[in-house]
Formats: sequence, C-alpha cells, structure tokens
Amino acid sequence: MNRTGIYVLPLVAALGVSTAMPAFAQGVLKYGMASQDLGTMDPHRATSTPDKPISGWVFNGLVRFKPGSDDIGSLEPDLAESWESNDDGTEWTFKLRAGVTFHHGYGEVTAEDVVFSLNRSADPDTSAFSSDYAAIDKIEAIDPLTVKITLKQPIPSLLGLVANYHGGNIVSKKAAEERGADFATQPVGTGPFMVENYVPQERVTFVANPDYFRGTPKLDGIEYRYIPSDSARDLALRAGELDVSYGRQDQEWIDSVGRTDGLTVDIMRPAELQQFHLNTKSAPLDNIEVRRAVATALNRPEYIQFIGESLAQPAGSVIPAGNLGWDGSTPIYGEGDAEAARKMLADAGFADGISLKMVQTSLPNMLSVAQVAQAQLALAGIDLQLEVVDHQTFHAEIREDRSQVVYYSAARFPVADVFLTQFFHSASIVGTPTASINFSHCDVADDEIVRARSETDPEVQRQLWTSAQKKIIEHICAVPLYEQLIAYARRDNVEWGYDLQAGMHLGPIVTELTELR
Amino acid sequence: MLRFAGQPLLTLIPTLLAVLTLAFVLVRIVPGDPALIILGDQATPEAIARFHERTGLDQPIWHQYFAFLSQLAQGDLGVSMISNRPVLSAVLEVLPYTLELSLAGVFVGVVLGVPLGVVAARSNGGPLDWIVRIFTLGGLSFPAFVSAVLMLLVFSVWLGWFPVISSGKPITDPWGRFMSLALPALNLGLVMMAYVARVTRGGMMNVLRSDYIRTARAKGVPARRIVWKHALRNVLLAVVTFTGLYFSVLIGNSVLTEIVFNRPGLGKLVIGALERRDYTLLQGLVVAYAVLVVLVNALTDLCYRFVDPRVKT
Repeated sequence: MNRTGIYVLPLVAALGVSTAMPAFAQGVLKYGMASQDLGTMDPHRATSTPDKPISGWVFNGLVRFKPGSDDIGSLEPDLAESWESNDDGTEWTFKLRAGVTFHHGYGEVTAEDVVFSLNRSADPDTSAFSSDYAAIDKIEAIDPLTVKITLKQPIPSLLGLVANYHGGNIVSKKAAEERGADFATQPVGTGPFMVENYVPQERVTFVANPDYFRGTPKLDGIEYRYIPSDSARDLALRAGELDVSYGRQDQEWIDSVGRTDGLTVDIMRPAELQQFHLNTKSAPLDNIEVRRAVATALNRPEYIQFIGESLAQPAGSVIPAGNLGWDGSTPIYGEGDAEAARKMLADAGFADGISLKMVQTSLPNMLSVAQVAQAQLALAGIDLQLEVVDHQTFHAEIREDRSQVVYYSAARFPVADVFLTQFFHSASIVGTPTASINFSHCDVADDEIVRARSETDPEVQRQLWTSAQKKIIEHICAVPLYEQLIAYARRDNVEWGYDLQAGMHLGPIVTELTELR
Repeated sequence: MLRFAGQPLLTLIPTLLAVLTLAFVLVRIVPGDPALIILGDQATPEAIARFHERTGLDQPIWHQYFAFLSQLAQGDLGVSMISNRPVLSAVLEVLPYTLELSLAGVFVGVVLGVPLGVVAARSNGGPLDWIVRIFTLGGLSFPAFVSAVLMLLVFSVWLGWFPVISSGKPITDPWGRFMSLALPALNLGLVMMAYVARVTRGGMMNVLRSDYIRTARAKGVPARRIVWKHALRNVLLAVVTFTGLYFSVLIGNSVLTEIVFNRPGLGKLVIGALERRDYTLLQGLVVAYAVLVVLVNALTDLCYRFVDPRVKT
C-alpha cells in the first residue's frame, strides 16, 4: 500500500488541493488511524500504535500524565485524590476520589477494582506489561477508598506504574470478569468517552460519558476510523470526512499538509529512538575497533537531513531524550568519517573491509534509513548486506540472533531503567530464557542498572544511570542515529483543550475539554 | 441437474483439502509469531511459551493440522488467534461487502465492455475501433490503485459527489450504500471492461466473417439484427467463460480497491491476518476463497446452458 502513497502524494501536492469544506459532524470527532482493524481495546494488552490512543479516552489511572505532556515529574491526581509513601518508598497508600462511576452502569470505583486491575496488569496471562510489575509484593484494599501497595524493593517510579498508561489503567472488576475475552471489544472504564460500538475493519464509536468526574465532555463522541491507506486518509481529511488523521511520518507529507488551508500538523513526543544495535559477540563485531569503525563511518547528521528537521531530532544517548535519568554528556561516534573508519579497520586487521549481515524490516520508513546507512558504510569499505523481510519475520529473526546489526526503533515508559534493562542488561540478551530485546549482547552496565533500580537517593540514582549510559556508549553496544517524533494532521476547527507537546498514548489524547469549533 | 450441482461439490473437497494443507503449512513455516502481536515486542520467552500452550501452537505441526481438520469437519473454523472472535463470523461479516463489490465490478465490466467490443468490431479498423482500442489499452495498463486515487480526487474531493471513505452503510440506507459502492465498483470494473471489450471485439470479428452471417446478409437480414442477435449470441459464450474465470481474479483484485476506498471485505481481512500472523483466521479465509471460486465456476457452467443450447447436462 505504501506504493500508493508514493504515487499519490506528488499528485495531491501538484494539484494543490485545497477544499475548505466544513466538517460534517458538529459534535463527533472523526479520527482516522493507519490500521486495518482494531487489535484490542483492553488497556492491559494494547501494545500497538493504533490501539493505544483508545486507552487514553476510556480509562483513568490513579495518577495521570497531564494531557499533552510526557513529563514523569509532573504526574497529577486522577482516580486517586492523594497518596503517601514510607521513607524508603516500599509502601504506598492511595486515597481514591469518591463517587467516580464506571461506564455503562458498572457502579462506583472502589479499592477492589484498583486491586483487581493492578493484579491483572501483573499477570502475564492477562497483561502485556506484567514484567513492569515484578517488584510489587502485594496490593490491598484497606477500605473501599484506600489502596495500599507494598513493594519487594524500591523502584524508580511507582507512580509511573499506576498512571494512565499501559498497566496503570483501572478497569471495572465486574465488567472484566463478566465480559472475559469480549472485554477487548467492550471495555469498561471511567474516562471521558465510553465505547458504544465496534464495527470490524471499520470503526469504533465512542460517546461522551455524561458522568465523567471532571465534567461532561464538550464533544458528543469520537468516531475512530481504521483507514490503512495513507492517501485515503489524506483525501478524507481534505474532503472533511475526518477531523484528525494519523500522518505519514515524513517531511514531504508534513510540508504538503502544512501548505493546505484549513489543516494543521501536530508534531509530538514521545520520540522513538532510532538505534543500530551491534552484536558484540559476533565476529568481526566482537572486536571493539571494528565497532568503532562502523560507528565512525555512520554519518548521524545526515539522517536528520534525510528524515527532515520537523520530525527528526539528534539522539544524544542510547536511551531516548526526556527519559528520567537521560544523560547526553558522553560523546557518540557517528561523524561520517569514512577515511578514519577505513584506517581503524585496517589497524584491526581488516584492510580489505568487512561485510555485515542485517535482517531488515520492509516497513518503508525503516528500510530507507537502513539504505542510507548501507551507503554511508560502503564508503568505508563496510558491506552492509540487507536481508529485507516483512515486519513479523523481522521480529522473529532478530530474536533468534540472526542479524549482526539490528535497527530498532523504540520509545518506552520514560524512566531510564526500562530502556536500559530491556536493551542493555545481560538478562535481556536474545536467545536466553529471560530474553527481552538486548540484541547487542551488551553486559557492561549490569551493575549500574540493577543498583539504580532500587536506589532511593535520586542524585545517586542519576549518577548510576549516567555511568551506565557512558559505559554502553563507550563499549559501542549501539549507535543512536536520531530520534523521531510523531506527526498527526487535524482540521483547524479541532481544539484539543490543552497544549499538545506529547502523547504517552502515541496520539493526541481527547479530553473532556476537546472541541470542534 | 443433480449431476450438475454435484460435480462441483465433488471437486470442491479435494481442491479444498489441497489448498488448505498448503495454506496451513505455508503460514506456519513463514517466520513470525502471533504471540508477539498479542503480547507486544517486549514479551518474555516465558509469556510467549504460555501463549503457545494456550493456543496449541506448542504442539507438533501434524497434530495441529489434524486438530484443525477435525474441527473443520464439524463446520467449525475456530477462533481468531489475535481477536479471539469466531473466524466464521469474522468472514461472514465482511463477505457480503466483497461479493457486492465483485458482482458490481463484473456488472460494470460486462455492461460497458460488451457494447464497446461490438462497436469496435463493427467499425473494424475505423475511427471508432481505434478509440475503443486505445481506451481499453488504457484500462489495462492503468494500475487500479492509481485510478482509484484519481477517481477519489476528482469525484469525491473536488466534486464532492461520493464519499471518500466508502465503508459499510447499513442495508437500511440503500442510497448511501449505492453511493459508497459506485466508485469502487467502477474502479474494479474498468480493467474488466477493457478485457471484455477485447474478447468481444475479437470474437465478433471472427463470427462476422463466418458463412452463416454471410448467408444472413445475403437474405437481407438488417445489419443491426445480424450483429446483436446472430453474431453476439455466439460471442457471448467466450464472454461468459471469460467472466467466470475473471470473477475469481476480481475477488482477489478487490483487495487494493477495498484498501484505497476503505471498504470492509475479505481482502482487507487477509492483509490484516497476514500482517498479524493470525493463522486460524488465514485458514478460514482460504476456505472462504476456495468455496467462492468453486461456486463461481459452477455458476459459470450453469450459465453456459442458457447461452449455448448445445451444452446438455
């Protein structure tokens, strides 16, 4: 389908389409998403970009990210009114807001629902995020409006685990038990919008929750349309059949939409870090001088030019900027010095150059970046052999250690521990029983990562994370290329009702204040 | 008549079995894992193993195969690995959309293609013939997804006659349903129209040269009657054969049209199932396609009887 986009974009741009027709709907926000269909609306299972925004409309956490923000330091009360913890941060008590009700008549939110929800998030059979909750010892309902969480050891951000994100979303116990697998299409939460109807391959419709505890939403509802073709979404937006649309993530599209009357592009965090992971146990990459040569031959500024400055920003570390604990003080290779790289290779005994195997997804945006890298490395006598496969095959192959260089694009919960653990702790090395996504087989910062996890002094914790990043960069386990933001387009009459800088749900959150003017 | 209906059914079973076996094996030897879709890219091997256990993917492949066949024999296509919904209802939900689109495409193809072919044959080398030949060549060489986007741009965005998102309108809204079907059907039918026009033209040229036409002319039968009654009837056999064959192709071609016009349908379901490695849904879709193709072939045979009295049961 992406070929369609290639043909259409210049066409649309060249014809200078500008149809400032009024939107059909008065009070229903029509939101177009690049997907064939719904995956799941169960917030504890929603891991894909198209599924995540829904969680933000239907559910609440005990605390929440301010709408439009991804700052873990400014979490604010959501279903919990207040909270306190003991000195070492192992016992947390939350007081719930009274009188908050679940959608569709499922009654008031009680401590029981919170206990049920968090236990559900911690259970690998019901949650995709269970490993995030490994440090929780027990969750108890002290009284109907008080919940106590006891941890086995302190963790970097307990509040993050109970925020309106992933496993922190609170579901109705009664509804989840009653509906079982159907909860994925008939979820029950407390958020500003409730699910009314799901039509496979077409749309999910939401209606405003009149009893929402922050006030009745200004919108009557949301129509979430599944439109996989980039060009069809563009045309629908221009024809006024959509109010908001997931963008094509490239500069050409941004410029084209930006030039159109009546349309605005929203660019938001979280930034996905685009990174090359180098397998440090696979010859010739097991030689650090060879890795240094690869890193030196890569030209990082060129990626920003290639992707476009609206969407791409420089990467300063091996974890995404904005993560709690991020440190950009260690210099990273990647100046694109082919001569120096050749010399490094020759000094390491590879005067004739080297060849590296890279299993690469056929997703067009990622493939083109890999091709840029291929061209850059070729200048230094490094033959990057791309084996292009479809996206699921890619995910399977890289987990079986079949790729010497893995290009991975990721954003995670914004605390350094998550990214560092998944990508750079030895327990996460692919192919091991505890494997996650450590493709580089990096194990140089285990000590710092583990100690930082339960360190209660924020300053010491920060130093440990800084030291971990420094070691990983200096050991050249990975070369961060750039960071990519997310682009959406909307009609000018859409007012989000807050300052949109970021969306933890990978899309603009629609709140009770969002309106169509 | 019984033989007529029974024969396709008899061929259906071995065909289906072969296609199913192939599909069953192919989707499983392609790398990829539905567990990663359900559990996310951060899933631990432990969680993946538990998923495999729950869905039976940890069993040997022959075991899974026979389990699937015995389930199928009871008319049960199982549940989708990703959405947990019954496969049969997922297929049946969108089947009407694909059928409707394909039939409308065939209608456009035949209704426009046959007269064009006749006109071209009558003109034989004249200006009308050239126009039709150039027009049909355009229809054949224009990629369907480009024509789809052009149509949307002109008729939906500029003129505003049709919706851009042609997704399912309820049957209770026939006008809306028709409007959302018109452009996709036209797009799908244009290529077929080009083929049909060429088949008709070629057939006509041959028939018009034959002896009985010359006799009819000599007897003074009006030219129009010769063409539309005597000649066309003989050409129609070729058109029906072609339409039958092409209908199956059309069902496959509808994928792109469904995606650009954003209509629900089997094609969209297949793409989604492939992307997500939804093995059970894919298997169900293969069954659906195989049944459809066999049914279409049976219908084509049936049509012969009406067009050509020589075909006897």
